[in-house]
Amino acid sequence: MAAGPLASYNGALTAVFLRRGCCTTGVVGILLLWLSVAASAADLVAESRRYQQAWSPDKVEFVLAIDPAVTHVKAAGARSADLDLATVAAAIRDSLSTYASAVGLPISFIHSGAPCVDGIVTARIVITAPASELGAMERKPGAGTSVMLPINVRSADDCGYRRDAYTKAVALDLSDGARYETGEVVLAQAIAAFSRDLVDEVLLVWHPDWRLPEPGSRAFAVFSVEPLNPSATMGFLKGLFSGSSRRGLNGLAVTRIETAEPEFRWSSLDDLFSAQRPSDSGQRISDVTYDFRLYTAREMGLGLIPGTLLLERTRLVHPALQLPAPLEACQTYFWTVRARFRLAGFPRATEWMSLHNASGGVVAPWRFRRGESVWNAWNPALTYAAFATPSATGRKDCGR
Amino acid sequence: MRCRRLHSWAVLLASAALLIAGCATAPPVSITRTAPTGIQDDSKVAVMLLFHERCAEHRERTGDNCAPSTVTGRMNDEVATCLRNALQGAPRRVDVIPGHQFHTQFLTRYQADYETLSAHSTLALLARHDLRGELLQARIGFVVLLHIETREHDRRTSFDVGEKGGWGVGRRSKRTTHIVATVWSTEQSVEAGVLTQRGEGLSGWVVPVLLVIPLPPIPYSSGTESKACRAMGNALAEFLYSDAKPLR
Repeated sequence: MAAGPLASYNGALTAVFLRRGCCTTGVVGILLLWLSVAASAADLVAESRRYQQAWSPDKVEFVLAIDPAVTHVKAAGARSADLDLATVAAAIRDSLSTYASAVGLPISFIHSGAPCVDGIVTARIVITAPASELGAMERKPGAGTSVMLPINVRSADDCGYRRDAYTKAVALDLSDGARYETGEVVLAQAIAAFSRDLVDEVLLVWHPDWRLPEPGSRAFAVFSVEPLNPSATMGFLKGLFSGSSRRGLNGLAVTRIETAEPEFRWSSLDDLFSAQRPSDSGQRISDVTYDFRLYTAREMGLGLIPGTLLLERTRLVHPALQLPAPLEACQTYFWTVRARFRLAGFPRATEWMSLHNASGGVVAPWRFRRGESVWNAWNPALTYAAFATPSATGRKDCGR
Repeated sequence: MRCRRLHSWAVLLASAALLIAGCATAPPVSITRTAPTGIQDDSKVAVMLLFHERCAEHRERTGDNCAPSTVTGRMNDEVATCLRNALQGAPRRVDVIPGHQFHTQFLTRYQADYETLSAHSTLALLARHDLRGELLQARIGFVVLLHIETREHDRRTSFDVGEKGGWGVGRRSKRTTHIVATVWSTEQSVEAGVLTQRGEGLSGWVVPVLLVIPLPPIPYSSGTESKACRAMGNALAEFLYSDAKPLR
């Protein structure tokens, strides 16, 4: 039988590929990609040193410079009320105060141009939301509007504190995903998330002196505390062959556990310090506690991601937690932990425990927090450790 | 030879249709628990479908009243079967009563009109002291009210190219099934929790064509509702058996 037209087409295509040396180009492309990943990995270690400093400013001041023209921009969602951005400044002020107070940081708001006082190290963070850069985009007619509000964060002119600057766009999604919320709720949620990230980024987050994991390393969170029980399961192939209801994203797989009442355990901050920091650093650490979060799972096509926050415990003294009641049977949950402590008297915290040692390279949570549009600016909140509880009716593998 | 080619082409397309049909996923059921369950041996569960959109159509067509036994009897049987299958082999013996039978036996005198069969009004009825006594006497420990909504959308014409001169044209649409199950605990006289699930799949038909010769059309369905029913039955069984308690 003669070859079909598609076979001839494929043959011709292969010939063209070979003639033009596309195989060579492909190999070179892969090599370049690998080199860029390797180079980027080296950058990550260098960038991470920013969070290793033991700074302790005497004061923390915020300057809000919201362009008044922002207040004239209105965006209507499909089912939401008109969004009046006049509340942007108030929302930022409220959410910054709330979160800073929760993590034990005394902050104040000042007007720009106030002079520095000699001998007093002040973390002065200038937040600018220029109206000229605000972008409103209508995804499809009648479906509502997605607003991107770029906010500049700058601490370059601070009084002896760490100099830093970045711009992050706060996305106000008033279309499909936000159709059940009013514009004000969407704004408040987006600004609250932005403010938490901001305080974490410029004041709170601390990194140990970490190294890039070796190939095949079982490290999960790399520069944060590690999950001990339930253990974390990861690996590209494991994730790929687990089925969408048994895998997370980026090579994360769901660990099956034998009980609905697991005792959560994780490595302590001492472990992180003793393994990777000079021993004298530990002497300046005090008030070590842990924050714990448990989430339900939500399907998002490629795999599962954390859904609703089910339980939150703060100020846990020991790196362990026993839940007050058994969990649901045959359900998947995500959990995460971070250590909070004082370093040289100033409140600090580790990154939230997440799959940082992902398939394809190390995930850099600070790149996501700073809104950098690079491949590993992956949202670490999507890949917390995941586990699934057993059946209560005795069905093997929950009848899947 | 030609016949064999036609046959293999039809088999190929049928396989493709089955493959598409198999693409419907039963996504995880999300659970919001408000009270413990831990169902006991020899207890019964009534599963009743709330689907009052059908009532108006039924009245218009037959002029009859819209009692669950006449409108949704078959569907009530189906969802009861999903839960019964999930409970098979479970260590405690639990009986499942289809919703229309449960309604006839316990609720008809309060809800003769199907129009009033909403989750809100039925939960208010179940909270009545006298009805609670009757249900406990009949050992009905839990009543599950199911709201199922299936929506067909994004209907479009599809055009697929195969191998060896074969191609196909058809119509396909997405089917989304949204199920909300509200679980009522008779003994505690409270809502024990809400289980929700949203499933999506494809359905439609395709006419395979070999060069210019059309073959009989092949219908396919993703079975969105049946997969969702099976998954919800499993989740309900686990929810009722579990010793879990609300975490907050």
